[in-house]
Amino acid sequence: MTATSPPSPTSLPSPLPRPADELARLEAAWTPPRGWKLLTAVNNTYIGIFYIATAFVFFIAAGILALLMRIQLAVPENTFLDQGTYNQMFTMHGTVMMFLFAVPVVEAIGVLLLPNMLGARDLPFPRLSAYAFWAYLIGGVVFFGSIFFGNAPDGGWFMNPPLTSYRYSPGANADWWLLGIGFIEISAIAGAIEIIVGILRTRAPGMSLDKLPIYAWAMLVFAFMIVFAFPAVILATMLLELERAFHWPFFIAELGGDALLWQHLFWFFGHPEVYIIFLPAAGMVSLIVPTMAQTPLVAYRLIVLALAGTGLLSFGLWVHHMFATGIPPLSLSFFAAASMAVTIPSGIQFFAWIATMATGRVQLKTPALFVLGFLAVFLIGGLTGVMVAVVPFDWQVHDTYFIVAHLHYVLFGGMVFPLFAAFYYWTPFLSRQQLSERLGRWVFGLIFVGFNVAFFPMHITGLAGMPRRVYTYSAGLGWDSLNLVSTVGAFLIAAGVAVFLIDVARNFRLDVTNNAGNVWGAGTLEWLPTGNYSVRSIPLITSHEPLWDQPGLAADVEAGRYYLPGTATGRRETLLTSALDAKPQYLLQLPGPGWTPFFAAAGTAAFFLLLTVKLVVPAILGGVLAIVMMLWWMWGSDPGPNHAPVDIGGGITVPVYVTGPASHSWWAMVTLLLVSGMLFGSLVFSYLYLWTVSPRVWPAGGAGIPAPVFPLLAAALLALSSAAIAYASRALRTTVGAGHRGHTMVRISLLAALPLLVAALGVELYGQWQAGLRPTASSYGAVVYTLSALQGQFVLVLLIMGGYTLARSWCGLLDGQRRATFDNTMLLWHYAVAQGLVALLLIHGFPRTFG
Amino acid sequence: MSAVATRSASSPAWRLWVAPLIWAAHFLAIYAFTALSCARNVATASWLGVGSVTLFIVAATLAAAAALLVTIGLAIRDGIRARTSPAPTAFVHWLTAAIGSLVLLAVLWETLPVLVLPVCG
Repeated sequence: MTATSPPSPTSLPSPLPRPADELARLEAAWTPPRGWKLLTAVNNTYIGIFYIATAFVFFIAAGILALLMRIQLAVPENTFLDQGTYNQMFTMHGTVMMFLFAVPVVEAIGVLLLPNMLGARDLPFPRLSAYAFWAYLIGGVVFFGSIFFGNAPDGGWFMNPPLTSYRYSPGANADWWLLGIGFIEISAIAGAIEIIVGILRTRAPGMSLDKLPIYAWAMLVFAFMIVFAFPAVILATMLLELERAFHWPFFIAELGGDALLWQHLFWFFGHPEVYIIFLPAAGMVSLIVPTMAQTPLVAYRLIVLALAGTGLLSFGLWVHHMFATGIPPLSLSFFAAASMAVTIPSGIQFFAWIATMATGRVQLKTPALFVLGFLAVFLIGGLTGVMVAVVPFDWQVHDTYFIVAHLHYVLFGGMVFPLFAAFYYWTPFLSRQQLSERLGRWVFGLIFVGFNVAFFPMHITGLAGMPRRVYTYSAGLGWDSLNLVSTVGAFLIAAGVAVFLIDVARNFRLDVTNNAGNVWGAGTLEWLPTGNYSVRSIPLITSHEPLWDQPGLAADVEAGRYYLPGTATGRRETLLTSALDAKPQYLLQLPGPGWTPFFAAAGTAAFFLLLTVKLVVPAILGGVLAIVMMLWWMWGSDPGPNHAPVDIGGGITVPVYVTGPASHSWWAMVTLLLVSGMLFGSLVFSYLYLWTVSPRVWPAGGAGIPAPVFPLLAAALLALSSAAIAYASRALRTTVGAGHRGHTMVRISLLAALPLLVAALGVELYGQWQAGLRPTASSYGAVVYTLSALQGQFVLVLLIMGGYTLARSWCGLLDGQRRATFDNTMLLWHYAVAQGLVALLLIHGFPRTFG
Repeated sequence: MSAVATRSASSPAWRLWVAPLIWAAHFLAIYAFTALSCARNVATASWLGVGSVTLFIVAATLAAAAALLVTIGLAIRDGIRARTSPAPTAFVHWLTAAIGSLVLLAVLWETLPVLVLPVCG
C-alpha cells in the first residue's frame, strides 16, 4: 500500500471559520443555466448526464433493431423483414451499438465521474466536452434517422469494400456511414483529449500516479487508445469516401488498389475498439468490487500493469479478424500469439477481482450481482476468444453464428453488465434516492438469463454452419429450434431493460447537490458531499481510498478546510497539478455556460451530414458557422496573467496563468499532435501497403516523378515557414504589453510564414500534375494526391490559426507572457512542416530508391 | 505539501513509453518483413541454411530483447536507488520494469511461431 499519514485536523490548509460569503460566491460562480438555456450548459455534471441519457437511448434503439432481426430469424423462411431492410438493420445495429452507444457511454461516464473522483471542479476544457456531446447528439440522431427512409448503410458495421464502394453501393447509404460516423469519431477524439489532460493535470493534491483510482487509470489507457486507434479508421473513411465520390482507386484491384487495405485500417482501429469499450468497464468493476466487499482492491499495481498491457497488446491483434483473407501463415501466427498474450493482463484483472471478493465480505446487492454476471459471461467470451485466436479453428467458424455468440459474450458481458452495475452503483451520486434493490434483482435476473438463452445457443448454431448476416434460412438444417430459443432470450433481455426503465422512472430524481450520498460506504472521492462545483474544498489525498483512510475527510472538505475553499478569482476555476506527483501548479479559470459549443457542433454536423446528401453550399455554410463559433469561444480562453497569484490555503500561492510545457493547453495540443501523427502514419502505411501489393503501378526507375527541383523547392519553403515561426516565437518572448517593436516582427514573421506554407503545397501539387500523375489513374496517384490533400488540411487549419493569432496580436491580446495561443499555433505549425517534409521524402525518395 | 511544483512532469514517467515503443517497432518490423518477403517471393532466400525471414525475425527479437533488458535493468536500478524518494517515483520505476517484462514475454511469444511454421504457406 502507498498510504501516507493523513494530515491532522489542526494542520488542514484552510482554517475555520470560513468567510461568511465564501460558499455563496462559489455557488454563484457555478450556478447552472435553467430552462431552455440548459443548451448552454458546459459543466461536466450536466454534459455527462445528457451524454449518458443520449447513449442509452441509442442502446434502446439499436436493441429494438436487434429484436426485429430476432423476430425475422425466429422461424425459417420468415417474411417479416425483406433482405434489404435486414441488411440495413444488422448494419445499423452494430454501428449504433459500437459508435453511438458503447464508446460514447463510457466516455460520458468518464466526463461525469472523473472530476469528482479526482477532486477537480471540472474537466479542463468544459466547452470541448459540450461540443463533443452536441456534435454526437445531432449527428447520431440524423444518422439513425436514415433507417426510416430506407437509406441507412447496409454493408455491415465494418463496411468492407468493394461491396461498399461506388460500383456495388451506388446510393447514399454508405456515405451516411462514412461521413456520419467519421465525424462522430472526431467527437470521440475530442473527449479523449479532454480525459487525458483532465486525469494527468487536474488531480487533487497528493493524488500522485500511485494513488490514482483504478478507474482513472482505465480511462487514461482508454483515452490513449482512442488517440492511437481512431485515426486509422478516420483515414479509412476518408479513403473510401474519396473513392466513392471522386473514383480515387484505393480499393479497386485492377487499378492497383486492394480491398484488404480497408480491412487493415479498419481493424487496426476495430480490435483495440473492443478493449476501448472493455477497459473503462473493467475500471468501473475495480471500484465497485472493493466497495461491495468493503476491502481494498487486491494487487493495485498489477492491475495498473494489466490495464497498460491490455491497451498495448490490443494493437497487435487486428489481423485476427482477417485470418481467412489469405495472409501468409507466419504473419497470422504473430497475431495469434499476440491474441493469446493479451489474455495474461486480462487474467491478472480477473484474479485480482476474485481475490478482492475472497478477502472481503461481498454484499450481494444489485451492483455486485451485475459484476458477478460480468465475470461469468465475460469469462466465456474470453475463452471462445482464445479459441478463435487459433487460426485453424477460426477458419471453421469464421463468419458463422459462433462469432456472433463470441462477440456478444465479450461486448455485452464485458461492457453492458458492468454498465448496469455502474448505473445501480452510482445512481446515489446523482439522484435523491437510489434505484430499487427489488427491481434491480429482476433487471439482473432477466438480463442474465435472457442473455445466456439468447446467445449461448448461437455457439451451436454457428458450429452447425449457420452464417452471419443471412436474413432467413431453410427449414431442416438443424438451426430452427436454436434460433427460436435465441429469439425468446432476446425478448427476455428486452424485458430486463424495460424493468430497468420502470425503475429509473420511479426512483431516479436528478439532484447532485442533495443526492442520496455514500450509501455503499465507498472509499473514493466522488462520494464526498458535492454540488455543481464538485467539492467545496479540494482535499489532500494520502491513499487509494481516502474516505476509508482519512477520518473526517467528508466533513472537513464540506466545511472548506482544504484547498481552494471558494472561488479565488470570482469565476469558475480548477486547480492544475503536476502529472506525476500531483503538486499544485496553477489555477485554471474555466468558462461558464455559453452558446458557442452548441452552434459549433450544429455547424460541424451540418457540414458533414449535408455533404452526405450532396448539398455542398449549405454544407460549406455549416462549416463556416462551426469555425466562426470556435474562434468566438477561443477568443476569451487565453486570458493572460489577468489576476494576481492566489492563495489556495496551506501557505501555497499559485499563479492563475502559465504558458509553455506546464500549460494544460500545451498538453492538449501535444495529444492532438499524437492523433495527427497516427493519421499521417496510417496514410504512410497505406502508401507502403499499396506498393507491396501493386508495385506495377509505381513509377519505375524514377520515370513519371516530378523533377527534383520541385520537392527541393517545396522542402525549402516548408523549412523557411518553420524558421519564420521560430523567429516569431523569439521576437514574442521579448514583448510585454502593447506597443513594443517586437510585435511588428511577430506579425511580419507570421505574415511571411503563411504564404510559404501554401506555396510549398502548391509547388508539390503543380509538380505532380505537370508530371502527368492523376489521382484517378491508379492507387499510386490516389495515395500521392491524398498525402498532399492531408497536408492541405493542415495548411487550411494553420491559415485559420495563423490568421487568428495575427488578429490577437493586432488586438493587443498577445505578448511575451500571454502567448498560449501563439504556442499552440507554433506547435501545430512545426508538426505540419515536419509531416510535409516526411511526405516529400516518401513521395519523391521512395520510388527513386525502390522503384 | 509545501511547495508549488515547477515542472509539469518528472522524467521517469516518460520512460513508461520506451517498452511499448520497442514492442510496436518489433511487431511492425517482423510483420512488414514477412509480408514483403512473401509478396516479392524472396522468402526462400537463405544464409547457412537458415531462411532470410527466420534470420531477420530472430535478429529483430534479439535486438528488441536486448533493448528491453536494458530498459528493465535501468528501471530496477533506479527503483532501488529511489527507495528513499517519494512513492510516485518508485512506482513509476516499478511500472516501467513491469511493462518491460510483459513486453519481453510478448516479444518472445510472438517470435516462437517462426521456429515451427512455414513462412508463406
